[in-house]
Amino acid sequence: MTNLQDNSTSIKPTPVIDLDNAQLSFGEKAKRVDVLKGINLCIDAGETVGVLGASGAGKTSLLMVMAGLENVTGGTIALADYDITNMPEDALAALRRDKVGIVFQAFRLIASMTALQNVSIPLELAGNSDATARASAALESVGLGHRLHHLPDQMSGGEQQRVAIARAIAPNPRILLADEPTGNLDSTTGEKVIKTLFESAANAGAALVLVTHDAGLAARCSRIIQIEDGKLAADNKQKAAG
Amino acid sequence: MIPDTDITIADSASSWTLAWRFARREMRGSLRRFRVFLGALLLGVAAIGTVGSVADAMRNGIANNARVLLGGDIELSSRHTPPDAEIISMAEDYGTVSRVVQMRAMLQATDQRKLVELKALDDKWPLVGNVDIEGASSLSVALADKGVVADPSLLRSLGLEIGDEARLGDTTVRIAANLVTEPDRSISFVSFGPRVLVSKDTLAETGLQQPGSFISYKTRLTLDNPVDNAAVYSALLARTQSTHVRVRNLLDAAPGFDTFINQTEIFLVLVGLTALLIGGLGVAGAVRAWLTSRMPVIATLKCLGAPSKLIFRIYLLQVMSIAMVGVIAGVTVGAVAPLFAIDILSGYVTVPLDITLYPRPLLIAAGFGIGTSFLFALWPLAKAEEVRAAHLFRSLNDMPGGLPKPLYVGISLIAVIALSVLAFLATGNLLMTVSFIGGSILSLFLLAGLGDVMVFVLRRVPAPQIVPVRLALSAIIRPGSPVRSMVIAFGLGLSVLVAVSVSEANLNRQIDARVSEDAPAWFFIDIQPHQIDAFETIASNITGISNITKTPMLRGRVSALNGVLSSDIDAPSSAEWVLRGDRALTWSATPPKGSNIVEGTWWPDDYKGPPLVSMAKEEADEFGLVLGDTISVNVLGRNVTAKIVNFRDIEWQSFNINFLFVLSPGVLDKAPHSWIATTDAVDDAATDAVERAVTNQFSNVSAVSVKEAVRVAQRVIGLLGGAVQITALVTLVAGIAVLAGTVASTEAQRLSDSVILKVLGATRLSISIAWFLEYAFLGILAGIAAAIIGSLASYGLVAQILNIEFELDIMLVLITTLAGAGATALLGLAGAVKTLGHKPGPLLREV
Repeated sequence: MTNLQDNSTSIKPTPVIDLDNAQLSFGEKAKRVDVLKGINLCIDAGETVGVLGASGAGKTSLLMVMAGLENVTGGTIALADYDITNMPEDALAALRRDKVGIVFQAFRLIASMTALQNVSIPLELAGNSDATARASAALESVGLGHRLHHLPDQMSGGEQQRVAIARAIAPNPRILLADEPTGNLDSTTGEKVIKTLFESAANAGAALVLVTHDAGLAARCSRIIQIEDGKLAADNKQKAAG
Repeated sequence: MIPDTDITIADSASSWTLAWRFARREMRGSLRRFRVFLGALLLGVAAIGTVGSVADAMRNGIANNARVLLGGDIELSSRHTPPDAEIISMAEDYGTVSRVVQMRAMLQATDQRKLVELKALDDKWPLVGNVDIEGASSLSVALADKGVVADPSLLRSLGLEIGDEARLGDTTVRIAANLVTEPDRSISFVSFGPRVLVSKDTLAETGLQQPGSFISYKTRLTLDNPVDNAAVYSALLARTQSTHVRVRNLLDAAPGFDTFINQTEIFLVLVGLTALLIGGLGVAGAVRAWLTSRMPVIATLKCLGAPSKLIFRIYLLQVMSIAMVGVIAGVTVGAVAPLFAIDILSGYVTVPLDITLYPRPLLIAAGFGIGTSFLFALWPLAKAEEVRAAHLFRSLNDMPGGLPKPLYVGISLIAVIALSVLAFLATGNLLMTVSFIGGSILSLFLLAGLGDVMVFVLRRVPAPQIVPVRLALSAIIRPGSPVRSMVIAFGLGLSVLVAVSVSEANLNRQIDARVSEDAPAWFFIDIQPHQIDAFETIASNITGISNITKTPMLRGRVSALNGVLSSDIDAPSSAEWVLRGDRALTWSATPPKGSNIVEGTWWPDDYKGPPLVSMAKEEADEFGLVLGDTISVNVLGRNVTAKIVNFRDIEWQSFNINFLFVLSPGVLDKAPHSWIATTDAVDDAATDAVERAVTNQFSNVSAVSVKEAVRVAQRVIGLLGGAVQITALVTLVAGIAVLAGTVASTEAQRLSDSVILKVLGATRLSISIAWFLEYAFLGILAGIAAAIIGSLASYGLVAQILNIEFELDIMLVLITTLAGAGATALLGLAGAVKTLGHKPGPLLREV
């Protein structure tokens, strides 16, 4: 049995994200809305994947399914070797804590906590005794070693997003999910953040899934997938159906 | 692939330690958001703590001063005649004895006279405590040679000074000193006259001690060996069992007053609890609003791997920490309140207060505060753990709906039971506690139902053409609108205020009506049998005097009902008074004027058989007495047993002469008795004339002014009414606090609405009108609900419990309702209108 408290669990060279005919629907009968309509997708460790698509195409829903924030209503999904299709809420939370890092467009830092405290959260939740030291190291790695004790509203948008990246990578996740990470930033700051994100993912050996509207940004990824009307419309390394 | 069952979650991930660490960090800046919560909690806890502390301060004050209040270790008291010499002699064997005589009398200075409470002392008085006088070197010097020591207020009102002379009965006395402190002055709200101290020799000179006069003889005993107290008390009790002498010890130093304290405490604690209940709604509202604002944080924590249990604990710890601030503040107020109570109470009653810290009432108040906070915060907290991390990607603005998990419903029930037990501990009265809890739950459902009905009806009303009205309506009927919590919170507060106002108005109207319609001008007491005919002649010869009524009277103690000794009867609390003290007795061949016999028949005019008695119906029912049962009364040491042959309905509130018991003639006629008479007067001149004529002619007769009695009664009602009004206001303020909190909780929504409306061209004025109308609708609904609930509660109190004719003061209800609606509208608008000042531009980027 793999204990998710044990961060020394070795990373196997197998897909870290595996969606098999994943479907997501809301509502019943006539009011039913199909958001994801049978997605087959495998993402390996170390891969960087840009997810493109029009508004409402299902990009964010795909990301939520990958983060275990929405349960698929059809098909199966596995994350970091775990079948999460019917996993209970708290087990999913534990899985996210140890294996998945998420970066949001709106940063989602907790305003009442300092940068260091924000980054420490997943480490403390995992019961790491060296949470503060590791959080401090993560902040150093994104160039914010001098801002450890600042509150989010004392930092610029770019700095806040870098804190969010530090928080996402601090537990050494196998999967890094980013939803429009530069959407709230100017282009210069956005560029710095993206650079940090890619470097951090590479250093952690994590798969990076980047949801964006920016085709240029997606092009920097090793793989681009296109979502249209809840379906996988294009994949430069698309997996065979079935 | 590893199946999902392999996932394990370490307990440390939701430990209290970790929860507290996160809670501490998260709490930064939260206190400000809980001002309403804190205010409501502070009010409720302070009210309950204050009432309990003041009541305990009174009880302890009485217990610690019991010897002084009683005037010794044991008191023997009797009416009309002193205890037998043998009983006095028995008392003297145990220690030192002091004997005083108390009665009412008229003190006359030239052309003015005043009813006074006369106390004749022996040279041993006071056995305990010290008398403080001004104007003489010692009490014995002052009382020598017909000297009197008098209350300074009496001397001022009669224009007397030390050294002046005045008439007391048949003699002339000399004002020798001012009375500053009288150690054994009994605790009572009712005092018909200021105190005058005389020596026993002077009393004898006055000729006031007439047979049958209403005189109290008090024999106080200080024991040579105080450890013998219980044994001596028992011995004296046994010796006086079949006499007219009552024995009291230190445990009964303030007879009746302890019951008054207990009952007042119960009532005020329950009103305080209502405030706390309303505050609880504020707690629920504030916690829900706060948690709604924390949804992104909760979702973030969940996204980062926090289990549901940890979320619950983090926010529970925060809520309870903030609650503790309110509870500690409330307890502090409750702890220091007795210091201020001294000043307020001293104007009404001379009860000694023992000022110290009383942990029990403060702990109970704190328990209520913590319990209420926990109970009302539990459901929003339980729903908070259901907040989904998906919130971060989708705009989910409302907290999850529906019931929380069964575990939390179970914990809520346990909390309700714990609070109920605490309420019982605080009141010590199961019936009152159960009634209160039942009434509260019923009121909550009623108000919640009214809120729902209003929304249901308004949803079916066609959208009005006028934009502000349409906006107001849509705000009320939109999903998640705070209609229900606002109607409940404000409606409950207003209900209490309506109930109190209507009840007090009924009580005052009752007294006023009686005074103007039925009340006689004077009660003349202690008229000797040989004086009654002359009295009637004198009174009837005065112009403007009419309706002279007279009846013989003496006092006796109910010693047994159906042969069961009074001491062995477990009397219902509302009828304890029947057995407790001496009761006025009379006899009559015919039914007294205005009698309403509801069961049985009156005895024949010439009846001469075994003793029969007519009893008040209501009191008979309290003891379950039926026709044919027997009542034994002890009159001057002699037991008389009479058979009940009829029941009368008595309106105790009238100022006419009413008797609980009327005996058949031939039973008490020969006992020393006096007469009591009343007269009506057309105007003040006639009122003064009859008093002057009667008291000039009969120096032993005392005149009790009905106006004065009414003033005393109104003063007592005013004090009680004031205390209740204050606590009712506390509940209303709690309601207002909840209203303010609800307004604050919708601030973000209003800000967003106002910005959009402004962009669409709405002016500030039209938005303000819409919001004013919205709150006015809610206020009117809360007001209507309060008018109904408050009036029903008042009817229950006035008509059912106090048995007084209930009259609904529509104007009062209307004013209270409209004031409530207006206050709601203005407060709501005042709270909401500040969001109107924001410019749309900067906010649109966030909306």
